Amino acid sequence: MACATGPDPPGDSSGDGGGEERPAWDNRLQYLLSCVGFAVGLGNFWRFPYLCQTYGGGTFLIPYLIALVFEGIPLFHIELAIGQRLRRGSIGVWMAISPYLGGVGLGCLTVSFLVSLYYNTILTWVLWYLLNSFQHPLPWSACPLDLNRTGQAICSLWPARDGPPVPGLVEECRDSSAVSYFWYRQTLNITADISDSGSVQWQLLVCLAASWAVLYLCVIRGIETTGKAIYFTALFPYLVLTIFLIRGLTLPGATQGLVYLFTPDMQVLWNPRVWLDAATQIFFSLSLAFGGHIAFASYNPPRNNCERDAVAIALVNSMTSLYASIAVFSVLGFKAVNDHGRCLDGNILRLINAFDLPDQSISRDDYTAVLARLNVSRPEWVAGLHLDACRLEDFLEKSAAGTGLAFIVFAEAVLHMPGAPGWAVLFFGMLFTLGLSSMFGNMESVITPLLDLGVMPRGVPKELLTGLACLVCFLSATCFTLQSGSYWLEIFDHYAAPLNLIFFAFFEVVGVVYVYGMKRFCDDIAWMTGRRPGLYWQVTWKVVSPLLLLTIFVAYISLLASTPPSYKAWNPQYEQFPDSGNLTGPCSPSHREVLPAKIHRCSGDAQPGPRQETSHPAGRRTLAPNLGPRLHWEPSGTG
Amino acid sequence: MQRHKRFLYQRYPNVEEVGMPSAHRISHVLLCNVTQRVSFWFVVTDPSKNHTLPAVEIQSAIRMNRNRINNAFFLNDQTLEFLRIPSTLAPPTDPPVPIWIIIFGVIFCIVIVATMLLILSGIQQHRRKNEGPSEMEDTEDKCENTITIENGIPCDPLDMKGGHINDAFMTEDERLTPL
Repeated sequence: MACATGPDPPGDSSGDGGGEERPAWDNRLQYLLSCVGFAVGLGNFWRFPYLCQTYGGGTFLIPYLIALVFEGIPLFHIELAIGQRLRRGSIGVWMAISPYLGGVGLGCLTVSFLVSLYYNTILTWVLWYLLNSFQHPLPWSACPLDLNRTGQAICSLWPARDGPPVPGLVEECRDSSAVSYFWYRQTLNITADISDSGSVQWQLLVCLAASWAVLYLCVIRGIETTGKAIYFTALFPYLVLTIFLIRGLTLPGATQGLVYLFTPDMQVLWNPRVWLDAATQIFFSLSLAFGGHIAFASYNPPRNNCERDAVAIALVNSMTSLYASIAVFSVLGFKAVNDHGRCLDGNILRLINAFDLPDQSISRDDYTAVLARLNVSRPEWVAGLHLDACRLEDFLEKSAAGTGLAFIVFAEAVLHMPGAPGWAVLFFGMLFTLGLSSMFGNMESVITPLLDLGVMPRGVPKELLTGLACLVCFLSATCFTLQSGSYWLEIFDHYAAPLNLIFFAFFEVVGVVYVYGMKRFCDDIAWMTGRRPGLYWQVTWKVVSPLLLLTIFVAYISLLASTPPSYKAWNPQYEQFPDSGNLTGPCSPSHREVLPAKIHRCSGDAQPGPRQETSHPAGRRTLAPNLGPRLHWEPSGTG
Repeated sequence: MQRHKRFLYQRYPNVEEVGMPSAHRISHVLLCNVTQRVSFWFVVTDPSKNHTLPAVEIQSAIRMNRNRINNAFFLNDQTLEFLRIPSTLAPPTDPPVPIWIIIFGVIFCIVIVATMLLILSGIQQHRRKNEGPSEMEDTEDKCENTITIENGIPCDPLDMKGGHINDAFMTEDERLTPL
């Protein structure tokens, strides 16, 4: 009987290492949700909005969309198609194409392993915050008292300026902010230097064990269990984002935040960094070159329209980024307006006290007029008060990406919402599920190739393999629970993953298009989807994407080579604390060459002032360690 | 932050408790530098008005009775400030077990129990699968060994021996008789 002659199935098509049938998705929705969950991760939340804001709002969307069309979608389609066609994990696929390309698969496996280690550590931090959100007041709302327990009963976010130093609150907290203190001291207990490892933080170790246990529970039987869990972990973040969006839009200051985010600045397009950042953002946002999408697609039925899937998932990923940035910036606008209002209130109070004016006689709206009048009549008195310059733009400009956005800026914003613990629980729950669904993809990209390779003897159940993988990852990740762990994480994230992924992606495209053969690949896709790939696909696969990847690779290497590697450190002993009036830019750095690393030291200061960051660094306008290829990726040391 | 409220200074209440002579009256409290927005300096003299009481004693007396003074005027530490007398902050309410540990314990137990259940069900499935094929083979053997006998004639179950060609039916080619 003449059936539709598909291409010859690969020699060991039921390759599961055990002669058993390859597992399959229960339904198409599970597969789509898994891919969406893998692609949509923490980076959509805390990297994309930051890029939008930094690079002139709406203007950033232009290079972003161009990169999506010419780089993101074609590469994504290749991964899905090749996985679905050859029905193997990443190592099997590349070995099947050519034994010389097996290294690509092995490299993808290794990078996935390394990324799993530190990505789950970030989930550990999120879990820690989530567990601490079930109390009122939230532990990061006020500074802890020191042993004296005396001092002015004033919220630590506003240390008294007029009087003597407040002796009652812990010094490090008083000088920075309660939120920063909770993050740097009570969560990480961070040391001042990466060479000073410190001890393992038991609370983080325990949370690390819990997050690996949760992950093991979900991946224990591969896609059989992740397919069930993904319904919740992929959809819950959207629900919470919607809730935050609605809540954020009803908060005062949301419009200012959104206007600030989306105000276009066309000049920015001339800056080559924008294009580089857009290309890398789309690359890491889609989680390409990890091997996870190949693994997911390998469990598909052979005849599935992978072209439609690729386009749909990529678009959903980008839409989610936009959606998240609207929610994030409406909340950040609220926070900025809030801080600005409190700054004004402080100034108003000082004016009232100094000039003996009736209480509450100056409203926030009248402030500028009254100040101008007083400045005319008694300029020397006004000057003597050392009023803060309260400008809304300064508060809006406090940009943050990475963990700084989540654990400092957003945590503080949540404090001011009525019903703060509930919002905190929702927020950190959303982050946890966002990260968890990405971790499913990461673990699949580690486990599926191992299963295909048949590293375990035949009788051994899959649960044992996944358990061993999770155990090895957990034990390796304990190094991130040291006091210097977050520095190691930052270094891993900046230097271990990004360059390798671009490298592997380049070889993926070249391998499929030139080694496997464009004609054979197009025939396969025609067999699977019923339609031959059109001109757009062929041109991008053959020419545009490889060239783009090569350019990004070269540009990134040159950026890395031009600056010495560095990381941002938090040092409470730093002698020069940022002062309201002194700085015109980010806090004063202390450039100290320690071995090859340069430390930028900064102790944060929550007082409003021109262009201050509440924690680090010089040369970068970000708050805390920027993280992750999917979370953040920025060559360090560059502005 | 300072914020001053107008109030009438009625009484300096605690002089007796500090152990000072009880002859102090309001007339022994002298005010100066009174402003419109109710801030002033005060000194307390002893009954004979010979000397003023030392500031340290007054400060400790106020610090001990701060709450009573505040309550008398329905004010609190933020609204009634005594310069150079820092307020004693309330001790933080530390629960015996931090809350996060409780919630962590709950979540961890649930996860462990669910994992155990999944592993056990996996083992059961594995065992059932192993027993399953061996049972199937037994029944097939039994089928082959039994030969149904009807009317003394053994019947050949058609399924067991594959297809037979039934000669009663002519093949396709021979239906049409040759011309």
